Amino acid sequence: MAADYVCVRVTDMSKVDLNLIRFDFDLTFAVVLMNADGTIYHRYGGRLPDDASAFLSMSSLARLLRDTVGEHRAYEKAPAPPAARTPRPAIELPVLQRKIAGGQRLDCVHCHTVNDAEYADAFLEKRWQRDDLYVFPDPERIGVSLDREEQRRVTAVTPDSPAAKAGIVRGDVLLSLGEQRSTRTLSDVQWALHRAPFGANRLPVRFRSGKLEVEAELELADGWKRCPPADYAWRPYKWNLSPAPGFGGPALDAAAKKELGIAAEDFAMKVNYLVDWGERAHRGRAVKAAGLRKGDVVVAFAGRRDFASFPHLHTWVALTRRVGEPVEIEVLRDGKVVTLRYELPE
Amino acid sequence: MSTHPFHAPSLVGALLLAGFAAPALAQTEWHTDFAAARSIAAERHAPLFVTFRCER
Repeated sequence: MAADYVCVRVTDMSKVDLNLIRFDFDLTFAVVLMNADGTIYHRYGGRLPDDASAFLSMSSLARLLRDTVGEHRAYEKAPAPPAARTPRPAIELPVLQRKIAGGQRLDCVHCHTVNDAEYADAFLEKRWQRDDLYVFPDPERIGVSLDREEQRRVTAVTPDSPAAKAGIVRGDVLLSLGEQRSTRTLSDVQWALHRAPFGANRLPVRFRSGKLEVEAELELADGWKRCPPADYAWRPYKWNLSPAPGFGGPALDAAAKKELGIAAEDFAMKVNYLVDWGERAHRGRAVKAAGLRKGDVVVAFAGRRDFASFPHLHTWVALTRRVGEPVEIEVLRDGKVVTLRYELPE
Repeated sequence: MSTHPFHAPSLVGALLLAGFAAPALAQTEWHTDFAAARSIAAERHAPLFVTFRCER
């Protein structure tokens, strides 16, 4: 299949034209299938919040490559290229240009760096809104789960969800959604949801149900893109959010928990750093002043013991707490429980 | 494409790249200059297969 394509490997975002190619920049691996005229047929590489690789396989990629060749041939008979836009290479983002002007050497612009830089520019220009965080929403936000191989096939529908109300049932095939003219992958569905305005209350969907092709609309509730902190925790941008706990470290494994007498299902993490560097050092100072030390084992934060990981704890703080909010940290130190109190730093 | 320690590249992503070394894909010419590849695709009326991956 690859022989039908002109193949490109991009390992640095510096020269990528952000007015031409956009995908979920938080991913560690992504594929774009497109026409030379700028029309993007499909995106591939999307993930589940708790599983980076569930939707990645050679077989699903091969299926996509094969199916898209036919789509490309049909498109070439009646091309409809997008309007030409001024190229906007990632390296020209103002935040990156300021870093370069300040003497910082940028060996490589990573994908997630694009998000960081675009958010920072939007923040400085006062056009950033907190809901802008919720990029590339999971299909769960509309109430569907998708097949990992044939990624446009619905494997489950949440009762009373927008998908259920639109008549979508298990086994149906999503054909198009919102701006995405042809859906074949998880990433295509996420792109359509990403492009739908946050305030959109209706999104057109076309799907095949048995032999029937159905056109319907998804009815979306206010705030439909917002996801639980656990679902956002994998995204690198969370580290920039405020408030933040000011420390971090790995979760303990089952053996380590057992040794300390901690229930297997309870959260426990070892503090191996306080944020005592850079422009966010005030966060580390705040929690250090509360008495937290490297080596402490955190077993509860703000009364909660159900975090799946430290990134989950961090994201929960960032998305649901307020700067200055008083919280208690319960730690195990030298076999004793110690309770520390501080106000969440900005 | 992150190399952040909390966002390490996935195993399957790495395997996919390893898959590119499989005979069918290894024989494929991989461009690194997108602009040049785009011109070739336009000439051949061929679609573009673009992968994004940090290899550092």
